[in-house]
Amino acid sequence: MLAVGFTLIFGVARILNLAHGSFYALGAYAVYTFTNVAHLPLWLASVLAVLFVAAFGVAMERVLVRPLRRSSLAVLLITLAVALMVEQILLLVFGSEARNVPSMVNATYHFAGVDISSQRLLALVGAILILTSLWLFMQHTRLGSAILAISQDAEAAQYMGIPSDRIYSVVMGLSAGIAAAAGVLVAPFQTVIPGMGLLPLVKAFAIVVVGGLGSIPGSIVGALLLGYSETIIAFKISIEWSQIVSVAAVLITLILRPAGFFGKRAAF
Amino acid sequence: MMRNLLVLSTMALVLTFAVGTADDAMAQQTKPIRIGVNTAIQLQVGRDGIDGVKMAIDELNEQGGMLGRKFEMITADEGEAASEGPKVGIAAVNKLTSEDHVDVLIGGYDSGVTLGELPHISRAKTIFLGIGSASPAIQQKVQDDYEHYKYIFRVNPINSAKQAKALLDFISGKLNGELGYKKISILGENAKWVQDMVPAIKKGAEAAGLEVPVAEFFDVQTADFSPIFSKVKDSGSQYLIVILSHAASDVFVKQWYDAKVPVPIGGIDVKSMDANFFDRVGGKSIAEVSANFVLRAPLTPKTIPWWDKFVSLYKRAPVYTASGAYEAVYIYAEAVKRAGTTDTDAVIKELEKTDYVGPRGRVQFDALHEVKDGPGFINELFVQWQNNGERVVIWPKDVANGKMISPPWLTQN
Repeated sequence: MLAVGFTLIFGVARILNLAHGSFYALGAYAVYTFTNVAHLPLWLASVLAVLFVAAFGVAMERVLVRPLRRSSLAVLLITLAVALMVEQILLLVFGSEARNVPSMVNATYHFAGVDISSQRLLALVGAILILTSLWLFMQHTRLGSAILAISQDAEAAQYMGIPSDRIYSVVMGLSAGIAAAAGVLVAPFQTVIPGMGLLPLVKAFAIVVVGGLGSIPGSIVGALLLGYSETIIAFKISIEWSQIVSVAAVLITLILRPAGFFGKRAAF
Repeated sequence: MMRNLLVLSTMALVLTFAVGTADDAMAQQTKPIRIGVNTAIQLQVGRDGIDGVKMAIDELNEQGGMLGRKFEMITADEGEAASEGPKVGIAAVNKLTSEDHVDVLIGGYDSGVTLGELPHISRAKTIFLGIGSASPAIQQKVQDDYEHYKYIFRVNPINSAKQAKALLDFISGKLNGELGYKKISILGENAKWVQDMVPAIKKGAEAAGLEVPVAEFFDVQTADFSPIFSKVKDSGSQYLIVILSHAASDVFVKQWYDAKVPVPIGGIDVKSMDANFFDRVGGKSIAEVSANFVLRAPLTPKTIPWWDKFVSLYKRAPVYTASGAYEAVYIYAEAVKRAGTTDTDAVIKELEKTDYVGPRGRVQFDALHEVKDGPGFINELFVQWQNNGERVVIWPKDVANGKMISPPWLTQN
């Protein structure tokens, strides 16, 4: 989900968003705040968290990114600044200790000799539903068509009357919302700390390089490929070696096929 | 006339110099004794270290300080070792010694960082009382090159080799001896102090007659433990020994609980030493055993009053660095009192004669300036999280105050 959001905003607006991991962290902290501080029901807290982060994404695009759009380096730096600022604010407000987000479901299933917690299954089902909805939205709505048009040829789309600035805002909101949903779904079994967005961002980056920057199907295939590779290596060889998979995959892809599996051209 | 002027001038110069020297000496006698605290100020181990020092300083200052001088604390951040390595810690030590001119350093929480700081500490000829780093390599320096590293003492915790010995005692005495377990797995984070420990534990457990089918390290950034849980389960292990400090203990425990892994866990989990860890993971650390050095139990007559005072002052229960830091201040103050000066060499001689009873137990140093452990000294306690976040000492046998329980999804032992 993170990789899809990351690749979506790059594919449409050519924004390499280093604050993408912050959306994920904000989603987890927002659901923590809504449940533990405001004492809202978990489902309502989750929905509000996603909406809050989506609004944050839109605001970030309007206020910080849009004025700098002409320079991709300036955009890269402003997203890095946002990432650092969000981490520091979370550190100041919540401190460095891990926060607990309760599980939405508590059962455990045994499948083919493997113990799987229902929260993990819920994260999987949630991811499938959200990504399917995204696909349907992109393929079957006017707004989705406009987004695809901008991603294919921004200039031509503008000549056809598609308001590119508004589309960029929508896509940033969408991308932030999907990242927040990922944060909400995994928070119960992952650690909720201010720096929690960095590692998933690195993983998302590796996935989109392997899958092809700008390609949503590429991100899904890349995620499955890296996820399974890491798990198999952890199980068959040693968990110590699993972290090197992403780095090796990025290196090999950049050497052998710089555009990634589904990318049309090299992004770097 | 000229001769008188010369004599007068000389007398004036001598007087000025004498007054200046007397002023300097007076200033030296009245200026505060500066304690530099180098630790990770964002982490609970760091905050508790700072508050432990502050608590002791306030008590000593209320009694008039030492040698007519008050104590003063200056802190410097060592940063997060996992992401920043030793460079922030080295900068912190250099600032405290060369800019703030502290009389003593109390701190350290990560062995890799402390090892990086040691050359800088010894070059500054400043006493260092360690309160958090556990690698034996730190105190080994004192044996290898006493003249250069005589400034380095470890008040807390007992070193990782001794912790490994205590853990082995838990494995052979409790798991094998009392519970009859024959097969265990070991999982440790990839950090200096654990790299020292895992091979020793594996060897020791095998020597005690246990089988160890899985003994692995994992990266501190690991976010998914399900493959290793499956591996441990498939190996038929009856217990999983964990050794982690900087890794995400909460992720480990939550994923273990959520998957109802049919293998109990326990060992050295530094974050699980925190009094609020149970709440931080939503109660999912139930039945986890974690080694600890201090908790609210009558370890010495000072333990419970100290614990209660800390809680009333700082509104939270302390972790192990708090007691170590508190004791370090008193140990230093008593050495200064015996030496009658803050002169480094004189204080070192007195520190070597330390015999102090603090909240954790009786503190003496061995030839490597290492805190002594074992009966009568500092003990490693194996403490289990039980219902409602209650903590029960289950090992060593002579200090145990409750029975070991199994995770709720396994049958009671």
